[in-house]
Amino acid sequence: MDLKIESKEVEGVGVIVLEGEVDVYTAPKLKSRLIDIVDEGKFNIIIDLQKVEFMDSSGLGVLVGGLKRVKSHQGSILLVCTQENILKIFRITGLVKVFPIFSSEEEAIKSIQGS
Amino acid sequence: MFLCSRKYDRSKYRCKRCVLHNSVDEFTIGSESSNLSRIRDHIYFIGNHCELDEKQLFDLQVAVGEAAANAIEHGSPLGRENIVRLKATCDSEYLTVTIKDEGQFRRCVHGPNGDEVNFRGRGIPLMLALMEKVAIDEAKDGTCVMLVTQVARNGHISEECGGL
Repeated sequence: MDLKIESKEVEGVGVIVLEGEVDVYTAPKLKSRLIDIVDEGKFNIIIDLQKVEFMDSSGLGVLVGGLKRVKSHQGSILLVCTQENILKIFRITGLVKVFPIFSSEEEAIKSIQGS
Repeated sequence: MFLCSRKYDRSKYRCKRCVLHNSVDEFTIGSESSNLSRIRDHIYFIGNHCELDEKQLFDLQVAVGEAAANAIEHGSPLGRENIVRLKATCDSEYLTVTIKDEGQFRRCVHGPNGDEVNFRGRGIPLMLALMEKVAIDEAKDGTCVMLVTQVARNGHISEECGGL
């Protein structure tokens, strides 16, 4: 299983939809896409993890790296995830306190627009 | 370096029902990150035959994936010419998986502010959180990570996995 990455813009917000597995092999692909989006001037980014079947610490590292990039532009990264297995990885590593996590793209977009 | 409280050796016991009955599953694969998915698929197959539930299977895949990624990234001085060896044994209570490489283990455990580069240091805390026992044995000919997870479901040992 590879990693599929779809990028779109919803109401001025950059949205990345991931599908598949994020590991040492596929994480660089995600990192590259995140850098591209930041370079396009989008600093508030939503990453949809609903179709992610596996994520390891290298995937978490890329998300943390992306967060540092957008924060330097006063931006933010919001996650969409309801999968218990993936959420557990964020809980164990303490990243639930770092990334706001929502149950849908709509909720995440509302949060950005309300802030 | 043993991270578990005591040494663990149940190799003399064997599961009577699952695919590992009276045998050890050994899986050898080239040290390439593109093989991580195959390693996880293989360990899913083994765990499934040992009757782990879906949550346990995911935890096992994450823990084995972290150990294998470390073996590929840091335990392979010759790169793709090195190999990673997985060995799985199952007794009536535990599934034990060892992941052996041909280099030095990178044992960095970072605090909550670890950056992108060193975030892979979260692999050990993940393994510790997801597995019953974790042991890391650093030897001259390579590093061996041992991961142990319970086969019993809902607090009860599976009858199908055979009481001894």
